[in-house]
Amino acid sequence: MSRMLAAQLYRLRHDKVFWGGLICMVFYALAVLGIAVNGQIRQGYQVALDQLVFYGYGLDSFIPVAGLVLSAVISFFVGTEYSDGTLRNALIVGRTRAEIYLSHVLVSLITALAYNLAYIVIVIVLGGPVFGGFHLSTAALALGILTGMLALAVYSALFTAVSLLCSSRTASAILCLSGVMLSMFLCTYLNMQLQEPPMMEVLEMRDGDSEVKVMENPRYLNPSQRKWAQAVIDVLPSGQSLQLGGLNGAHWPGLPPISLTLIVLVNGAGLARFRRKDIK
Amino acid sequence: MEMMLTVQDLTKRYHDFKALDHFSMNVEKGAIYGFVGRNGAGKTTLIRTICGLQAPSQGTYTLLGRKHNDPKIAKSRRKMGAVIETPSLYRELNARENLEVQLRMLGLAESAEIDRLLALVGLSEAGRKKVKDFSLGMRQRLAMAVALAGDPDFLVLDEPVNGLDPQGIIEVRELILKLNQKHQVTVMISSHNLDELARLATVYGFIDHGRMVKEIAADELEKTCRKCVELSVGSPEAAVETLESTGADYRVTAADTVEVYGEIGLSDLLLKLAKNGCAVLSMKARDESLESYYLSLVGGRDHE
Repeated sequence: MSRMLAAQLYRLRHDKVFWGGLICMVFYALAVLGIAVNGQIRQGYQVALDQLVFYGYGLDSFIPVAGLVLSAVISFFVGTEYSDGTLRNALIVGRTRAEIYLSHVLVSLITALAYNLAYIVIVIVLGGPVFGGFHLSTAALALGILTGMLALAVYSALFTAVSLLCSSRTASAILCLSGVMLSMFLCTYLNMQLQEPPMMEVLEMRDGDSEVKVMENPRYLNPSQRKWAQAVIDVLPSGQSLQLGGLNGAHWPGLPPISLTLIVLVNGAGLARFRRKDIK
Repeated sequence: MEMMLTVQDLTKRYHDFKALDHFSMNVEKGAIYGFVGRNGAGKTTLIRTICGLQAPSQGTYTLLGRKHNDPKIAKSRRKMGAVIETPSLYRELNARENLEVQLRMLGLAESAEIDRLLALVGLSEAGRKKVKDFSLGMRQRLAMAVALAGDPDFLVLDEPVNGLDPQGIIEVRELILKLNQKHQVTVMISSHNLDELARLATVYGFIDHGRMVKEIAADELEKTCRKCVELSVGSPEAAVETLESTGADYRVTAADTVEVYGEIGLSDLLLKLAKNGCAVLSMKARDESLESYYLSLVGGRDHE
């Protein structure tokens, strides 16, 4: 396993897509800081360093930036084993399916954590003097970062599984990217539904007179629907990213166990399927 | 006699299609095994199966003394190298980097070993050129270097001279002979280039429709190959008519060429051909070629 990992880490260091993804995250960090500075100076609103750190997982409550970057990088890196046919080299010399699978999962995770670390370091080093320290308690900050890193680990597991089970690098990249985007739209939509108030004001015009009436909001989700909507947002790593980016901390304590369960399930199922796959 | 590879009753199904059908073969240690078959006969399926890329549907194979379902089969695979169909190389890395990855997988990363492998396949001057900018010949050579990383005892090559120029073909041939004779590496070569195979193989295995048709040692094949006379004729129809009437064993190998096998009375035959209005433009006596032997085993009718 260590040999397989050593070989994959060597490849990662020489992979242009990996370095390109890292540059993306660096530019993203600088862009986030630039927008925050502009907002604070020109528009006068207070920016919390905490929120800027958590933007590393999701931009506000909208774009899971880390997920999008990772989907491209991991699907390309892992998918190259099929497009270049090099998966065969490992199997021929006796590396087991488990070694191959798990080494790719680990390298994907290392990529995700490296990107996150780079983002956090830039934000803290450059943003700290401008925006002051953290407002959240150390425990809350640690929980948030742990939750974020586990969400990235779920992303890594999912993208690695797709890329190793799909024999086409292009198809893997499309599946991973579109998967992130679909889940992003779904979670954003569900989040908006959850934000709907139970009652709403309606302006009624009759015979030239207008009257404001308060009535039940038809878009307000019932308790059962609210439970399901929140469950979907909590389970999907995009949803977790958006909760972190929006500093929506109500459900954070429950997220790490969900992520850990998903990591075990996705890797287990992916490995089981990969073991039976005929490699051409 | 020590066997590098023993295949027993191997079957591989893809849905309803049987790519290998109760296939059996034996590759002795120290041999250069020439694996011959038409397109779609099952050669690559067998190679993929013994290399661990696919599991057999039925049957077993034993690789360097271990059965394919032995938990320790990986130890046997460490002593194996293979080049299957197209070269498996990272296109965005250069030659040295590709070997570095392979050697790290084997736990053997050493600069000196990389230099040795590159020199062995004639790629010492490849420099920083990425594989995507290599010619096909260079890629074939590098693929062989990757297969040779880890000093394998058993080398499997699927069409190793594909795309090589004549000089390249000679170099690969010499490399295979050197590995076999100096370093006792057992080699299994699957190839359509029967002329090239005839210069290398010590044993042949002929496969057709997923089954082993015949396994035969090169010296036995030489004895079995019949004498033949190759006639270049002006009128193939008249030649065929004449040969049919004499009951001779013959094959039309080209538009104007006929091979006649076995002991024949040449003078009689030439007179009969002349009588039937068939001019004989040239005549050559030789042994039956590997190609002819192969065609006689698997039948040339499918290609007419």
